[in-house]
Amino acid sequence: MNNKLNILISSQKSKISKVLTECLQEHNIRYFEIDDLDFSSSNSIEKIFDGIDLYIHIGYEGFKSKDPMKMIDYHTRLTYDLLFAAGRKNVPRVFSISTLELFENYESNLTITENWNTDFSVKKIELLCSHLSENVCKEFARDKVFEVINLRIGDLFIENSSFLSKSNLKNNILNLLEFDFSSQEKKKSENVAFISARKTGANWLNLHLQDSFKGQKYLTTKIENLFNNKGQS
Amino acid sequence: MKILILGGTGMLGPWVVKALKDKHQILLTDIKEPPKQYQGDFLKLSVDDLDGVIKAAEGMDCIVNLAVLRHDRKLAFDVSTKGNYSIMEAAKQNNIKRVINTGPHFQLVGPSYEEWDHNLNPDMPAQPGTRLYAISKYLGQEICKKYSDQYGIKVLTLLYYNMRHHLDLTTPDFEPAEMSTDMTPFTTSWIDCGEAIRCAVEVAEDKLASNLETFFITPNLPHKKFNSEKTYNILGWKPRYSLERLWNKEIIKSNNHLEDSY
Repeated sequence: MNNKLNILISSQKSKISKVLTECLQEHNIRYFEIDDLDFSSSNSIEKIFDGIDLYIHIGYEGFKSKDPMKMIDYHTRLTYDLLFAAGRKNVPRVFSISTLELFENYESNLTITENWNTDFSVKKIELLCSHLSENVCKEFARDKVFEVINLRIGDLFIENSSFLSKSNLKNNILNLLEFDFSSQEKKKSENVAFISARKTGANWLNLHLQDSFKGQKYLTTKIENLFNNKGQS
Repeated sequence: MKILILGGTGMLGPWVVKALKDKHQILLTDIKEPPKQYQGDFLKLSVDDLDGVIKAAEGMDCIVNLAVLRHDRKLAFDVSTKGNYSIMEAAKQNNIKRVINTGPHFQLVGPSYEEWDHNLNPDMPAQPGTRLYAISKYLGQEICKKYSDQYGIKVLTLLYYNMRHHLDLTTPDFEPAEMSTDMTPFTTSWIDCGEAIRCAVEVAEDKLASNLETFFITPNLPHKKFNSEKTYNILGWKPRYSLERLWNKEIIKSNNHLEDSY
């Protein structure tokens, strides 16, 4: 990476935000706190996206409240407002940070990929909210407002079966900064006549990330193949 | 059945009351008082009042959600997304096994379908896009989906679009209908829209293939954009009015009352 990117992260206080900051320290990072923003004024929301190259929206454990309605409000309306403002300011790319826990209800004998439907307990409001947040981001990608990489990550803090080391996250996050949607589409198009039709790429990329080990429940083959690397074990 | 109706004093509410009142016991709720013509029970309640909805749902057999607010961004999410969380929590906590949800067709088949394809059917994966009304309703539907999967609650979602009175083709606060042009993209009479809710309330459980079933509420239209066969076959809903004055150049009159019979 030759150029420093201007990166905006939702919240500086969350644990995941601190890890992301360590991963991206070579870049210019800005943060905002949701309580400091005036959502009745679209101008003031748009202002935080001035000059931003990448917005990292933490859709899992980036915002906490004991009130489920506040949790849903943040992960739907306020997420919509933020992404709407990002789109108005022509932010080209958004990372949506989500969690592999969205598949917690599947038994451990299964091998889960990005193609699986989410299955989690709605008793865990943070998982319901993460699911909703992902869906808001996806619709912005579908409407080609900007590119979205939805990264469902393992556990950064407890060494369990979905553990994700900080170094693994850092390697992949840095790779993803340089990821070119259109080059992937061109690769797919090698045997297709109408390459010109695929110049812009798909706009939406869903990836699972954790450290690799034999017998892992959440497969990470897709991201490994993308960057020709193997996850750490 | 004891039925809790949320958002019941809006445009669709009176027709739903008409369809249900003689067969079922209704508790009508909304933030707005009903007109004097309404003779039944009423409770002032906002759909996003979680505790209030849970309490109002006590002892009910079914919840019908007609709540809509689409112009203001906060209110749209309050009603369409958080409102559905209230409803599903209320159903879970009160062991209510049937919820009738409503919304616009584009919460399922947004522009990425509608502008491209025909024979759109209600079992397609949702592509609402970023339009406020569509996405806020769609996120509410996602909440319904997860709850229905987990707690075995039957959620029947009825998707509407344009609605007109069967006699004069009016809609409150809307421009008059333009004859021969106004299919947009489908139009259903209010009275039939209310009947569709009754059909969804009463349909036998063994007719539903899954806990979450979605239906387009439209008469059979000549353009074949939307496929509503599922609604006719499963809900047994038969619209009385096709409203063909909206797209026919002229009304076809018959001098023979047996024409098209047998």
